[in-house]
Amino acid sequence: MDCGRGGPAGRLDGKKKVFLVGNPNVGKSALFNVLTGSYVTVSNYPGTTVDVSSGVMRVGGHHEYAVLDTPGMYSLCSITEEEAVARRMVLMGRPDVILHVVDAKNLERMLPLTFQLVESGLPVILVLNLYDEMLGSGMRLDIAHLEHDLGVPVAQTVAVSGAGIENLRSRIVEVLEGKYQYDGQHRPYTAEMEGRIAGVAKLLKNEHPVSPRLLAILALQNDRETMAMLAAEPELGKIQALACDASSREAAMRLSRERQAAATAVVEEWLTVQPREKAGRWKEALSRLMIHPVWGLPILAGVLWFGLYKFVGGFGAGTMVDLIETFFENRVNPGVDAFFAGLFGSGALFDLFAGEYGVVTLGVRYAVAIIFPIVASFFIAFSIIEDTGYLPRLAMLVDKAFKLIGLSGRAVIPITLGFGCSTMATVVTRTLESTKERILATFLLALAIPCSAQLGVLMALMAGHPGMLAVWGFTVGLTFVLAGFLGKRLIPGEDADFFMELPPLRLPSALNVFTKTYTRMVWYFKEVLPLFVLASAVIWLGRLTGLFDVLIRLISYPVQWAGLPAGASPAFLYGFFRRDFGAAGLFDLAKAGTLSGNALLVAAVILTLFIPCVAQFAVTWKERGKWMAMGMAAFIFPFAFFVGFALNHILSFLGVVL
Amino acid sequence: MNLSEAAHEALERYWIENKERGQRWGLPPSSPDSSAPEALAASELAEGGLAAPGPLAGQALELTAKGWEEARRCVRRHRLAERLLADVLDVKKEIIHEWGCRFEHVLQDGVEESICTLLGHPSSCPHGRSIPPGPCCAEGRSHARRLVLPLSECEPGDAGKIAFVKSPDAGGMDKLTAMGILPGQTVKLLKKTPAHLVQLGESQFAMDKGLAGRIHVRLGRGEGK
Ligand SMILES: Nc1nc2c(ncn2[C@@H]2O[C@H](COP(=O)(O)OP(=O)(O)OP(=O)(O)O)[C@@H](O)[C@H]2O)c(=O)[nH]1
Ligand SMILES: [Mg+2]
Ligand SMILES: [Zn+2]
Ligand SMILES: [Zn+2]
Repeated sequence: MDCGRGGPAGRLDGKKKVFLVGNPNVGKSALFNVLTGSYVTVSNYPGTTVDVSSGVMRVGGHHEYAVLDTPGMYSLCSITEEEAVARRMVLMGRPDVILHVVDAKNLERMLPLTFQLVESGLPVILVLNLYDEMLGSGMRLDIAHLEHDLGVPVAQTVAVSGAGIENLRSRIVEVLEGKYQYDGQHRPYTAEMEGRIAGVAKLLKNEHPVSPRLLAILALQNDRETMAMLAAEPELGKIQALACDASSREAAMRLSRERQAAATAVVEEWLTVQPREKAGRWKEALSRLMIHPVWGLPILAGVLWFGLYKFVGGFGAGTMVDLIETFFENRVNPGVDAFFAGLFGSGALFDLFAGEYGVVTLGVRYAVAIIFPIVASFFIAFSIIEDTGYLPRLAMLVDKAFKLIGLSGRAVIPITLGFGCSTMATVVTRTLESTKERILATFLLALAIPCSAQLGVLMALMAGHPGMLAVWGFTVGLTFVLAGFLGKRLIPGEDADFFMELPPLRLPSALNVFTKTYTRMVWYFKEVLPLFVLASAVIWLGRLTGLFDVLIRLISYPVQWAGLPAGASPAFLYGFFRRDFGAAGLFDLAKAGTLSGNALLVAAVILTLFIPCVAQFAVTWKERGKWMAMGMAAFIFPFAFFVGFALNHILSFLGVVL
Repeated sequence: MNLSEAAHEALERYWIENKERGQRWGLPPSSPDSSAPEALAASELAEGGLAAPGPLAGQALELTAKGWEEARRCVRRHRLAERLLADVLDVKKEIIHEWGCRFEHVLQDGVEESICTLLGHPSSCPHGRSIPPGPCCAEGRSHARRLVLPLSECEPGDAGKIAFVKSPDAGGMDKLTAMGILPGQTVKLLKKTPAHLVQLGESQFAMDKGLAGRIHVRLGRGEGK
């Protein structure tokens, strides 16, 4: 989720590498945070982490290890893109130890992946996380025997409370410093499968980061990426003949079943279940309400009303913006103006920093007084919602409706995240399964999902006019639905299936909500502030050279065409940099009283449909390719003006004056 | 009784025409010099005492009581074979009938009953035609429901072991297999709307109808409604 955070960085060079690997939502990132003392996003839904993050773990005075957090994956045969990222790390990242993190209460389902990781020949430690929840559901595990049986170190942890972490650290050191003897045994399959595995394995001649045995197994499962890894093998033809015959799916199924049977046998031996405690009952009841086809809707409405409208719109965009805006206008701007007037007189340099379009008086003010409070309140609300586990339930609730517009319920997560920051959200579309769904979600994010900053400004502007807000919501909503509806039919490829694990509802921790909001804000501002400053500077340069006027005049054509006063043009010019920046421009215009009700509405609609920002464009370019990115931009900007134009005409045709 | 394939076909056709279409259709008369497969089949049936000349025009043969019994078993086996191919082996619908013909011979008497039970004593073939019930069905149908059925046809509260998972196309690992949804595991259907919610171990999975329809479970005794 933390876009912009790179892969394994240079500072990890030479250090031994610890990989956190496992199913989605088992607490890998939470463990990463306690082991390294840094922060990556932790949320209660599968697919939070979509990229690799790295950090350093210090043990005592003289041990420093690199720790890498990976996206969750269900098996070594990846289905979604973020799973492919994780799998590539395991197969090619040459870890010194793999921490296989599992949900202790679901050990039976997750143990087959442990076997696969052990088959890689790399050292593995099994981490039974969420141990508190396991105990809570009445299970007891004989860990000493389990460890003996599996032949790998086993450690139980509670990542969120820190329980078991010291033990885990010492187990890591034990393995990395060569003090743990792996016996090199692996769990045998049936004789027939072993024969087929050995047949492929002995054909592998090249050096690979993982054992020939694992590669042979994956090849037998006809795994495409494994076959690509083996492309340089001298005996490739024979390998293909053995591996890719018609029975590959059957082989995949048999190997999986055999692994599962072995896992079941182990768990049945060492796990005892006592009568369940009834503590979690109200959570189960609440969960049922959230996904109830009827009762789920008022709950959703409540979440939107309190979370979005009241908290973000009312408190963030209303109260907080007012406070900080007033502070800027009364205290900061006059001071800044005076300071730079004293420094540069009233020339061009003064205009760069202060005055109407100055970097400080305009750029910084927009960022700090308008964007900051809104985005911060959005991220607080969103983090709380994320941590409860509501989002996967919402996904389930809306799946059928989303199918009509070519998306599956899974797309709820990137789409809602898009209200916070569509750059982050575009990266998160990786968790969607089909290319078609990813393209469509990216497009809808770019077109019809306003970001919170913009939404907040618009809500504040239209606060007194519910009718205007309704028409705006209807127009943007209709665009969203129509675009999806057409996209579903026009974009080639199959519609996605819906499949999602529902995590248990959990109580959000204030610390995680705070830290997550804070890191997201830091990230957001690193992205936003330079852009704001740059935009102000470019505009200053443009004014200095007269280019600004040319651009404004250019933009004033579509602006007037859509029925807006030419004076609104600068706001749209900002909108090309970031649409919330444009919205902030509208804020100024509306306060000055230069916009009629209809014009404000039309301008709001056009700006909402704009591409969110330069950064989002860049991410689309990276994730979907340059043609897709440029194609989307080429469509969206004229289309936004077209919708504004149409809306304006419909309004005047109907004689509506807002 | 060891009948040729052509004789099987003739019996089935006779059953369909006379029993299901309400026609009066007779087997072509047996004539030693004809080499048409239908005529050969007819004489084979006549020799076995399954068919005899009746009141129909043109000396057409009619089935005897023994012949009717054989025809009924034939149809039953053919349609059970079709069900097996469709539900368990996921053979394409267009070729099911043809395969059913070849497959029915495998379903000899003992096997026929256990297949029928595995499939939950189905009452119709994939083409929608009714399957004549066998002795096993009388007791089985008192449970009123198939024993093995897709999750999408289960009711909330139903639980059982996964019998098999149909996969849509060949090559590589199936998504559900990768997720660890494998035969032999116990699952419980919690909800059907707005999507299917399935309990597997301590986890809950939400999925749409299409995926749920691929997971076939053998309902546990007493756990169903
Ligand atoms: N009670 C309890 N909750 C935990 C524990 N570890 C993690 N969690 C919670 O489990 C949820 C998932 O944690 P993450 O760290 O995001 O899981 P992840 O494995 O990184 O998930 P992905 O990135 O989606 O693969 C969060 O809500 C955590 O607060 C634990 O030991 N006990
Ligand atoms: Mg994570
Ligand atoms: Zn049929
Ligand atoms: Zn029966």
